[in-house]
Amino acid sequence: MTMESRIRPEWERIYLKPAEVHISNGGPQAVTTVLGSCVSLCFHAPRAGLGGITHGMLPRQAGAKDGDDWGRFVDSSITWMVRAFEKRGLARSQLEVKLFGGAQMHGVAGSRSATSVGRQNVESALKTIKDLGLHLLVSEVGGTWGRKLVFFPHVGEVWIKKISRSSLYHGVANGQETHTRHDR
Amino acid sequence: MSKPRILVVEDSSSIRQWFVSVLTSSAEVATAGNGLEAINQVWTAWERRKPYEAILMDIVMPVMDGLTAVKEIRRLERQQWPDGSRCCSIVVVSRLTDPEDILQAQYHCGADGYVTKPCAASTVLQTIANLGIDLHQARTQRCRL
Repeated sequence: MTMESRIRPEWERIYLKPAEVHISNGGPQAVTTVLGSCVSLCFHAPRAGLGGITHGMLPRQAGAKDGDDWGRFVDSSITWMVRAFEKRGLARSQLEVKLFGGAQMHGVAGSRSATSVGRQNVESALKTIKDLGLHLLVSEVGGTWGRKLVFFPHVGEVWIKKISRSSLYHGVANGQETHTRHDR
Repeated sequence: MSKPRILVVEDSSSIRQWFVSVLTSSAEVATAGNGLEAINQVWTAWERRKPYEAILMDIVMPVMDGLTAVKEIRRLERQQWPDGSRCCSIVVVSRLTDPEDILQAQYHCGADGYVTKPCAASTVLQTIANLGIDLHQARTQRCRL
């Protein structure tokens, strides 16, 4: 079964651009985004059937110029999302989160990893998750490949396809699957 | 189509059994009780040309911990296949939720994913499926670890 075939025709389809956030309205939706060094945190409130997703590009808002969009930053976008759920009457203890992205797009995995933007984004996300006391279920981060992510916020499912660097840089949202690891 | 081969590395026999019950309908499942046993089984599987497609690895175990084992499996892999390709996906499944453990597992040791316990069967199955392993016949049970 492919990622696309899991999406029912009647579901609302949304494409999440970098620096955007999305909170579902309770109805069935499929939210697609494409990640390189950026990170997405997918939120799900199981009892309420609601979900939300961020797409942070840079690790921290502190030190950014006035007027910079909070959605661009990993820490501020996560904090905004938690407050948005709280405004809907959902405490952070009811939220389950999954973390994706943070690829090291400009180098080889393992080399100079401490300085890559992808890793800094993941460090910032994990720190914010810990500071806010969120329950992290899954983390699939790092590597030297992009990820096409499809999130079903009403059920909290996240489906991932690896995509090549060239697909990512050419803005190809429908990236090719690269399951080369399992060729042997 | 043959079932994917999955190795579960976990020192608790009850948790090992839970993983087996979750995976057995959709995969050929083997188990190991610590990191050293896992390395030996991975090596034997390579020699028999029947490599595991995925490994689910606990961290805190006797004899050899899971992160040391992941690092060693990736080192042996580089030795066997110098072109840098990986023959198996490794998902760490642990109660440890400290950011440093999660970063260490995925940026230093070579794990592909990290699942925190306690977890639902659906979370484990979806994480494996996202690594490109076909588990389309997996049971969609809702039991939790």
